[in-house]
Amino acid sequence: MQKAIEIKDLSFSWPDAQEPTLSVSAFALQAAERVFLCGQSGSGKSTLLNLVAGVLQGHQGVLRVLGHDMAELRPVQRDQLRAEHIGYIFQQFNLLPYLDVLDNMTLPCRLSASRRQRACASAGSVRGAAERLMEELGLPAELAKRPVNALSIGQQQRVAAARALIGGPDLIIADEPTSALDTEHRALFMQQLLSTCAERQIALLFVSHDPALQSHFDRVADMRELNRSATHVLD
Amino acid sequence: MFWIELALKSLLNRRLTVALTALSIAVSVALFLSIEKIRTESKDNFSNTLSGTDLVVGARSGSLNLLLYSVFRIGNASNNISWQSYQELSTDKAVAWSVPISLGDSHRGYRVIGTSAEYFDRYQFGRDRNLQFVEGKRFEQLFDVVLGSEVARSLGYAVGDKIVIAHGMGEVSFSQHDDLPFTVSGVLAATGTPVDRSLHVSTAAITAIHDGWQNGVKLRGVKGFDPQSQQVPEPETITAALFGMTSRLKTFAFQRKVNEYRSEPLMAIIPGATLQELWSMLSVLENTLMAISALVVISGLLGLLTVILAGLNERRREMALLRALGAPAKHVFSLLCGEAALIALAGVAVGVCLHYGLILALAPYLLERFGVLLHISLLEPRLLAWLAFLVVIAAFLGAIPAFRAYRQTLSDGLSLRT
Repeated sequence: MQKAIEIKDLSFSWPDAQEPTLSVSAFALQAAERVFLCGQSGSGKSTLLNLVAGVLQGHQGVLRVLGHDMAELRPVQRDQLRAEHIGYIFQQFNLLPYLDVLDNMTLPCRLSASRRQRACASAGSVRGAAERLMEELGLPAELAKRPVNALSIGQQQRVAAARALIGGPDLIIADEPTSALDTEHRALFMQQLLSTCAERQIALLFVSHDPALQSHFDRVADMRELNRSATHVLD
Repeated sequence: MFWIELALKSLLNRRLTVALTALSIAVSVALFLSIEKIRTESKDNFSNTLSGTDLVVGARSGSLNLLLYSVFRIGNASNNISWQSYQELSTDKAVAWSVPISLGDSHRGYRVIGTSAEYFDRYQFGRDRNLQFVEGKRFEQLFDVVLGSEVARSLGYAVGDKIVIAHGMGEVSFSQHDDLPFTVSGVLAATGTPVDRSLHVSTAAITAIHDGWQNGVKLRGVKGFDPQSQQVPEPETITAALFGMTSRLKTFAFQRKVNEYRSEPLMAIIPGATLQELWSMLSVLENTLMAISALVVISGLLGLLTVILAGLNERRREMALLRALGAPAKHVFSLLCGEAALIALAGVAVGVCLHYGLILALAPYLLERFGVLLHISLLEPRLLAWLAFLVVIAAFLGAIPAFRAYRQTLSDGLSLRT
């Protein structure tokens, strides 16, 4: 099985910067592997995530995401790869305020036909897939038609996780998704996210600076060790 | 489809600001269309009111003033011309026909004009169209009256009805010629000119009802005109006269003759030339109005740009989200462009409705005060093209914030700036 992420001698510099922001000699995320990437702000993790997601371009070295060489893909192809195979969870404010919970959750199926097909194949319909995810993530079914700002932050993050998971992506990138949650909700969220990923054989790149969460993961990587350029940025 | 739906939902979420922006565009569109409508219709109306008449003769005053009161029934005559002078001029060899016009009386706000029966043959409007009767015939008896179509319609008169003419203008008059009522002898077909709002009697009748009056007041103890008398009175003065020449070429010579007339100060004008004078005078006003409506449209568009730009910062998050979901950057770009176009489109649609409402509301007033008849009609292709252009401009203006957002999304990447 191909690796979810494969990096060799990857470096990236902003156009007017002297030193590269990111310089990683080797990193790999196996298919269906769940890795905790520990990184403070300024460690170059945003740059790494943007490169992996295919939003940034212009890197040196090898970066393969789900078997695709990112340097060879055109911007639209990278957008398509992201739409079809990658789920992304932000720290907070994941949801569009003008769509209800269900519409937010099913957005990836609107943007990608293959996500829609996979969702339908797994649960009969997009709505069915969303409802199943809501159940797995402990969201009451009656929330589906609510406006998103009626939800608590914990519920919003779970909706964001459901959105990342719908239509069976191969890789989920979670950028500090628990930092806005209190301890109790954090544990619940972690447990639900991890079990759902494990069940569906989805690779998870989980980024956080909270070492307490490390214990949930197969493997831990540290941005400070990975990024040889990070020392310049850290103060 | 999905992107339009998303744009609509996003707009709906910000409905108050969006509605106000669309409204400001709507108001500017309505203003622009209405000014344009009134401008073109009033021009048409004025140009179509009189044709076939070579010269209008009246007491010496402003040429415009003469044209306005004699033909358009706007304003009042400053002075009259004597019947004698009129007789003398109308027998000139160059004159093919002439029709006297005597103004100053009214019936429930509608002007009464004293004229000769020849008026119904000679008065032409539009492209040489003659007056037509829908009912009855021209006046034959001394106290016969011929009604314009609107007078008959709005006051509900028919042939054979008796009406009383009031002295002077105004809806309510305290000096009525109630001793000498008139009988409706005919009703004219609608013309879209001031004729529709006029009552036509013979000049002799005007003289008869003023017999025994002085300075607009009925003299006490003086006996007025006796309706039984068979003697048809000769008028002493008339207000103006329409002249037709035997040949167009003789117009200027005759005009000079009138202007140099010795026994009293007279003036002859060529209606078309005076209308041109009116247009050139009005063009300043017209251009000012056009400039104002153009500025209003521009301010509406600037408002649109401001709203989109102001909302952009809070929407960077939304853009980053859509990017993370795999939306290509150019879709984010077209989302914002399309949004501006949608607001403008809504503004234009509401503006067109407002315009029709405004025209409907203004039409009676303009007709009454200025004799301008506004037709409710579909928008001309020229105006439709302008409106389409406006939407395109709005989409282009939307491209400015959209381009900013596009660059931001590229540089922000997936970081959520709040």
